[in-house]
Amino acid sequence: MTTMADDMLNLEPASLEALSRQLGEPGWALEARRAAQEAFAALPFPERTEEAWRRTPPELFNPQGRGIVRLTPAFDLLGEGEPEEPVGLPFEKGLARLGQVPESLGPSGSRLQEKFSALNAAFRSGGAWVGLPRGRSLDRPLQITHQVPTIQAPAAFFPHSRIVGERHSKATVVESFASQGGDLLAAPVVEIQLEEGACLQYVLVSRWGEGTRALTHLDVRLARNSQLRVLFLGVGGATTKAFLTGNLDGEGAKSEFLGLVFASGQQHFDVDTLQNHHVPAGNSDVLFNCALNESSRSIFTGNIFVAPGAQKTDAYQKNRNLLLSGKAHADSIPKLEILANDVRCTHGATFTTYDQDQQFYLQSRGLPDADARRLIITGFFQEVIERLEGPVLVEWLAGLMQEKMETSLGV
Amino acid sequence: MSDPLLKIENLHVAVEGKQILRGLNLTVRPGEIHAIMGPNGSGKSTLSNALMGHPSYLVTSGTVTYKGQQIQELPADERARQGIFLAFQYPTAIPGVSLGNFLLAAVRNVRGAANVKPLEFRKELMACMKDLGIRQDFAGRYVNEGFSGGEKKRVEILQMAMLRPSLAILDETDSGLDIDALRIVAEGVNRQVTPEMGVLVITHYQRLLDYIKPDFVHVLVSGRIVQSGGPELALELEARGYDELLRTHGADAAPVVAGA
Amino acid sequence: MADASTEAAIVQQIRSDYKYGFSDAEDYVFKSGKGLTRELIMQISRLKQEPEWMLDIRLKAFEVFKSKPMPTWGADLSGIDFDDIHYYVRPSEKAETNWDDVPEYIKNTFDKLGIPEAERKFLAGVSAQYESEVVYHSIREDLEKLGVIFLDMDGALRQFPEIVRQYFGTVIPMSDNKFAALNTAVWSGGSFIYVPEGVKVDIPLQAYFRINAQSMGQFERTLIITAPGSFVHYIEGCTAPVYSKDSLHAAVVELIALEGSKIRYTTIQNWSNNVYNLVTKRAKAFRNAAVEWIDGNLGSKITMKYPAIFLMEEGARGEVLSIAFAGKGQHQDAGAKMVHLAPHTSSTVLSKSISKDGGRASYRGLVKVLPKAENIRSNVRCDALILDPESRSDTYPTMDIGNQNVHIGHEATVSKVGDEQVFYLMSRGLSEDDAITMIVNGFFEPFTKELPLEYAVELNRLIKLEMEGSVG
Repeated sequence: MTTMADDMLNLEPASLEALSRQLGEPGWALEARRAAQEAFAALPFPERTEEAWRRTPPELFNPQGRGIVRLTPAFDLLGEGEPEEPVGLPFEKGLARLGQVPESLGPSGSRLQEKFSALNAAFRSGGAWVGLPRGRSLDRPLQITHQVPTIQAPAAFFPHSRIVGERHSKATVVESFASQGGDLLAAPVVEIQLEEGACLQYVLVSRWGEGTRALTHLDVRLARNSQLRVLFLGVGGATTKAFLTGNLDGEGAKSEFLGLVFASGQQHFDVDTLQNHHVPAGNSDVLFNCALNESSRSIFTGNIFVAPGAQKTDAYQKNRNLLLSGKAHADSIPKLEILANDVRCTHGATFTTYDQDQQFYLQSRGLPDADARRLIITGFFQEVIERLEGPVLVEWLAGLMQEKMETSLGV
Repeated sequence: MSDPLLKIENLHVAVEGKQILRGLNLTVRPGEIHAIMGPNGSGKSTLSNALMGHPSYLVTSGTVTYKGQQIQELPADERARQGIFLAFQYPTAIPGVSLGNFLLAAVRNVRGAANVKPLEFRKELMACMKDLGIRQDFAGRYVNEGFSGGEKKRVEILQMAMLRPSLAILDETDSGLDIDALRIVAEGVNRQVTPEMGVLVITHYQRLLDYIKPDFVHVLVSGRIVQSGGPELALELEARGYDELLRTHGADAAPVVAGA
Repeated sequence: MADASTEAAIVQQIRSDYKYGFSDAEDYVFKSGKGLTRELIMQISRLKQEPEWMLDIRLKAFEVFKSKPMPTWGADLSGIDFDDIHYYVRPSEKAETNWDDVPEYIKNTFDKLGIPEAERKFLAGVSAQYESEVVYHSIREDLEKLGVIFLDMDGALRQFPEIVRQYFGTVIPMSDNKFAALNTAVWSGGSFIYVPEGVKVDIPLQAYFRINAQSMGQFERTLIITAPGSFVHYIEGCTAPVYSKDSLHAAVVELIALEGSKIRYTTIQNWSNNVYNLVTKRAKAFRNAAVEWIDGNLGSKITMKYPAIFLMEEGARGEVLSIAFAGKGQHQDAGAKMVHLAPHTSSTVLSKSISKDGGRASYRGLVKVLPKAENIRSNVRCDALILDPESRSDTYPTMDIGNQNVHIGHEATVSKVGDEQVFYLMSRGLSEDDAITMIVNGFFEPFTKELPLEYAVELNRLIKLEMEGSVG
């Protein structure tokens, strides 16, 4: 793993060339960065009055005056087994191998339509490139880790990861974003593309350090009969804004978006999910559980959009909020926009504190108050974690949540 | 012998592209009670839904002749008006629609609005409910919403009593009933059976046939009737189970043509 | 149930488009030109012989109205031209208390709408507003003797200026939104109700609102105050003629339920499809008080209306029960807001909508719990049926929860009419049309059953009309 927090690199156009050179990119890649930089400059900065930014001030993510952190991700495999070479490259290596920019980063690509994605495309300073070959099944979860070390001056980190599941491939990918101390702005972009019949479990672990503001974009495209299960796991960072979007482009696609947020202290998580049903017979299922301790805050906005003609859509969305402290604050905005009639679309949201009946039951079996609470919280997370496949992964995730619980609850 | 009430010839029915009935033949004459027995997945419910005209059950070939007319193209409401009644295995809830209002609308459609006077209707409904041990307040409850399994089945038989069909199809009417409820329901059916009426009792178990005595028993396996006989056949099946029949007549076995 | 043949005859009689689409020739005492000016507001106030403070409020509100931009969220309001509206039309000199004194043509209109007939049959009091003014109001004598006040708002301002001054605009400040500001500037008509302590008005009071002129703006202002331990049920209905040009209805309704009292406010909104219906309705419920908005939206071109309840003190309860039917060219953007400001308060919302023939029904709602409001229960349920592929349904709820000790649930479902339900009803002899109509009526039943019988029957008939020819 190599890291550079280069004072010489900033958000000036001149840095594009330096970044591109340092990463050994071909000329066309630099051209793409320049186009993205122009798009970034032309796009207006988001305003608080916009629906998506009403509860998290966009100024928090102003990148000006920051150096750029360049970082190469680490690849390994979760769990025991034969040592084998993980399928994964640093983004720029994958890009060079592809020989051209992917469509989404091209002149009219989707990434250049949004301010922070364009910023990422211009000043990309890390990220992973994973191609899952046709028909191939990975036995063990692939783990990608972006670990930003302690930084001294205000810095920004722009990783871009791209995962392509070719036809009928099957894999689990866990991507962790983490940082140590220092004032960091992290704006990762993750793009996942599943071809026909591909099947992917993808876990995004957001374990940023205390001084990090994270603005995450996850964008998924699902071809016919492909299946995706995403877990967004938010435990770290000072302020997190995330946009998680599933595009059901092919009939029979299945998109499952899971979320676990465990916020403590002054942490602020604001997550938008969107399921775009463009074609008939798609299935989407969102389950987002947020537990809030101390003075933390979470906002969940979920939308199910069913385009005209997308008949036989089956969509479900659930957001649960567990308020563990009198000072915690949770918002939920579960939306439906349905423009077809032969559909079944449902959403639900709940807000509760510790269930007193559960707590009493556990205490009546001899558990101290703190243990009872801990069990109840574990159960609250378990509902989401058990949706994932693979004992190694499930155990790993349960351990991660346990760790967070220990540091934030002191139990 | 009288003209057949129902004549099913070489009936093939597919559901969601899957062929379930594969050449079923059956004749029911007025006054006859026929039992159709068979293991799970043999096509029993497909037969009842197809006879009632469920749009998802596609007749791919064959004919269903009722009172001398082919009916396989008719929508369900037309069949109901001509005197066919299906007691559903899983009656659907209709939230917000009271049983009383629903039955009044149904009876008006089936008997003709001019023949139904609200006061007489109400009297008749209350009497039928009493016979079937259904509390009067059920008339104000929403159709099948929050009903127990047994209540649903009784209310199905109540509807049969009010609609006075010529052909009644009872689809697994015994399922979900305890022994007392079973007796009440069966007695309700027996009271309604007239010499002009035909009854098709579709059931997995022999139990119901202790109360509603069939004249004929047919065994349905893999979408065809593979064996027919008198009431004794039901007892035989109860003792033997379906395994042997499944071995000889399963989906891949050669067809055995049997008729009543 | 009526005999089928007569029912068919009734349906035939009223089916020619919109039952209330007829209009009268205009014979008015005063009709303002189009557009809104400071001078017009002063003129309205002068004609009404209002106290100075009310004119001040109006003029201040006019400035607020001008300063606020059009809302860009919700329904599309770009079709509203504020310069193409008559803001004040006075059809007669005063609100009559004797039906015989009401001008003949207005009497005929209300006769056609069944108003005096309803009063005789099942109402405790009636108010009838035609254009900008209430032309008739009455209240049962025994209620008047108990001290119940039921007046048109202008009459209340003349007779009880102190009470009006004490409460006017305290629930909905003029700055709340552009249309509330507009209403405050040009309000005219509406109802004023005061129910004294302990008095329970056991049968409903009704107001009926009628727009007659083309490009008309109706801005009634309603204020209801229930003193401790009292109860009132208020019903409003509204219709307008069908014109090619749009009219605007921007009412403000303020309810104040004092300790232990209860207000039920029922609306059957059946404006013609050329009316923008942009109404601000809000209630404050104090200790152990209850407020219920029973809100039916059938008509209008666009409706934006989110009845709100501020639960001010412990034990307050709020309920919104609403239905929306969005047919061709209609956008019903309706919902509910529940704001829990005090501990031990509870709220429920049940919203049911149907969209059909390209119509759009949206639920927009808010449940807000302030940090000091402990032990809150709130339950929201939205069900939507979409009857054809051209129509649209949206759900936009917001839950903003600042306290831990809460029990809050929200559920929403969008689907089509169930195939199994249709088949079940058809297997009992009902035609497909009748089966779907029956399912739709059942779908609205939780709302319908809360209405007085006469309204429930009328609503079912309207739904039947809307549903005709929905199959094939």
